[in-house]
Amino acid sequence: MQPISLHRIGLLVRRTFLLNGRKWFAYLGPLLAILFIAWSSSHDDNSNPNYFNTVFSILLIVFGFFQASTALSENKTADGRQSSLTVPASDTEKFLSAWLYSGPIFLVLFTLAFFVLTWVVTGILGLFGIGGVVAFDPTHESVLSMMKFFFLIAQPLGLLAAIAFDRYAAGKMIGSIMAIAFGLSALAAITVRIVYRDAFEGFFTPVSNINMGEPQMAVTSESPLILLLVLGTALLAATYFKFQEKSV
Amino acid sequence: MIHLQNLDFGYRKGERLFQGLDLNVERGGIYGLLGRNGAGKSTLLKLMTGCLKPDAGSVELFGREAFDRHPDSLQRLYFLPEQVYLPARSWKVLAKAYGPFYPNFSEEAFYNGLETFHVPTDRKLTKLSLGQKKKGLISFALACNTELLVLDEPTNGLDIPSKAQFRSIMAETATDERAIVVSTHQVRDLAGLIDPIMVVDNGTMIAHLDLNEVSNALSFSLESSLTPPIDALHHERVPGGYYVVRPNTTGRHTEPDLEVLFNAVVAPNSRVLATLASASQFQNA
Amino acid sequence: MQFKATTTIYEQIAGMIEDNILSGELAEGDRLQSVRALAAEVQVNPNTVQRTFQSLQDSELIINQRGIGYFIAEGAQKRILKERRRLFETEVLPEQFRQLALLGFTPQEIKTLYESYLAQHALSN
Repeated sequence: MQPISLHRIGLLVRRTFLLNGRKWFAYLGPLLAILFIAWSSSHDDNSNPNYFNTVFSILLIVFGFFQASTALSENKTADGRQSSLTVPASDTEKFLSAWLYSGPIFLVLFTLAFFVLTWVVTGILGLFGIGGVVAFDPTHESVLSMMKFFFLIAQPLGLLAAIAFDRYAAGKMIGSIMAIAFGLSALAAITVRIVYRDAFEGFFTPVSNINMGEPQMAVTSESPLILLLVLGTALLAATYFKFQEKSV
Repeated sequence: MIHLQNLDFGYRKGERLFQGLDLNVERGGIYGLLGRNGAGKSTLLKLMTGCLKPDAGSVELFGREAFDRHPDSLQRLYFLPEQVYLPARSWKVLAKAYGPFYPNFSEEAFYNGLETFHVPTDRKLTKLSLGQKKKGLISFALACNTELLVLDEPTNGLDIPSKAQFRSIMAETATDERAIVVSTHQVRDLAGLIDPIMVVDNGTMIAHLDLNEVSNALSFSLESSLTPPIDALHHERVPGGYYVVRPNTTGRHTEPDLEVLFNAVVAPNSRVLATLASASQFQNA
Repeated sequence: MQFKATTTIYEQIAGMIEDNILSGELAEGDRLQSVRALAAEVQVNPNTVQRTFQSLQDSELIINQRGIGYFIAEGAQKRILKERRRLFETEVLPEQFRQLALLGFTPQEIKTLYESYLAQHALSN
């Protein structure tokens, strides 16, 4: 059993802040630009009370995935790994600190920054007579469910990318997901054509033209969350074991 | 402090870098680890500090399995690798980020060290020269005030005045409560400082030499003769004659030249090694 | 500091301290530098300096006052002078005499040479 001390996890998070904290300021520029463009180009749309909530949800997933994929950056070179190995903390503590930093801490700071920036942007644009009511509500149901999605999928995928790929981790992870998705759908298409071969007139007939009878509800509305929970945990576990393996 | 027992290690399957290696490090010594290129000095230091997993045998570090890298063990040692890794920040940030992990870290000692070595404090670390990076990290290592200090080729990249400063700082740092392990192939950089000396060759520790015992058993002298002194245990041609190693028959101590001593010990069928072994047996009897 | 190849470092450091006592730079009753400070100055292992101090203590040239440090012993200068003279007589002079005899110097010639050296030396002082 590896020791876990909150004090050391705190020191590790502090270390990451001191060494890499400035990287977060790099997100502020693009974030501000996106908000300006989005808000000014669609101010006709500002009657939609959910407008900022939707923008936030999309950006949280994109930025959240991207910044998680830059975590554990010193593990990407042999010299850096050597340096990280002898930092007086256990591997578990090092992993937990990376999770904390790219998860809860990122979420709080990102939400705060977004909240402030929406006010700044609407304020400035309001001076020129553009815009309407600001309505970013971090406690909105749609926002909360996106936060769930961030913790269960976006961050774990980002962390796994960080540990699995040394360079261009985010891009490689997206590429891998697309390749896997393509592979799975190809597999599904072939399976469907084999299982329901009687319904197909030819192998290349589109599925939409096929009548397979009444579809049965295989999944309940509860299952996506459980599925995501399982998937998220599996991704984090994979990251943890990959991290330990890399520590050699 | 560190006990390696019957250690086997190889980077690839079927390849043995070490076989049945034993080694002990105790407080109060500046251990010099010597070996030819590729003998595995750096690998051995990584094994000692838990950065590598032995294939067989055990590595005990502060009473724990080294590879567990228990935080309590890690905070009692500082390992300075040959290839240093530094973030693109300043020494100040580095001290704040890493210092608190070491219970006895002294920020003041760190800045004093940087000043002694004339290392700029506010420049980005990635912009510094290799020598400046090394000197900064040596200062940091010493400021951590750990019981165990492991330095892999610390004098590599240091200019001539810095080497003297390094020796001076090492001498000041060594205490009875502390162990320092230094690997080097520039043995003259550390002459007068390292004692005992561990020689690694052919995958095993072939000699663990206490220099006082070496002087007890052997005598080292310059002999100005034209023909090689073939009766000696070991001899090397030097300008003006031969550097000669003979058994010490007078009881008078002479200072061993570490390069010659190393060559004499790693020579095939080394007579010097045999003499040292029988002397230590005689002493133990 | 450059060490000769044969005499041990601890003897060389002892010789250096003795030289300082002989010249009066270190007077009787003076306190010596600490082991650590001297080790840092001459860049050697502190254990070596410890051995130097031990050997100087064994020959009663310095005394260890527990917890305070090492001090130059009373009569140290005299004892060093006596020992150095003895060593010179038994180890250096015989070889010099062998050379003098080989080259055919008479005792009278040596006497004249030594007296003129002393006269010059006294003048230059």
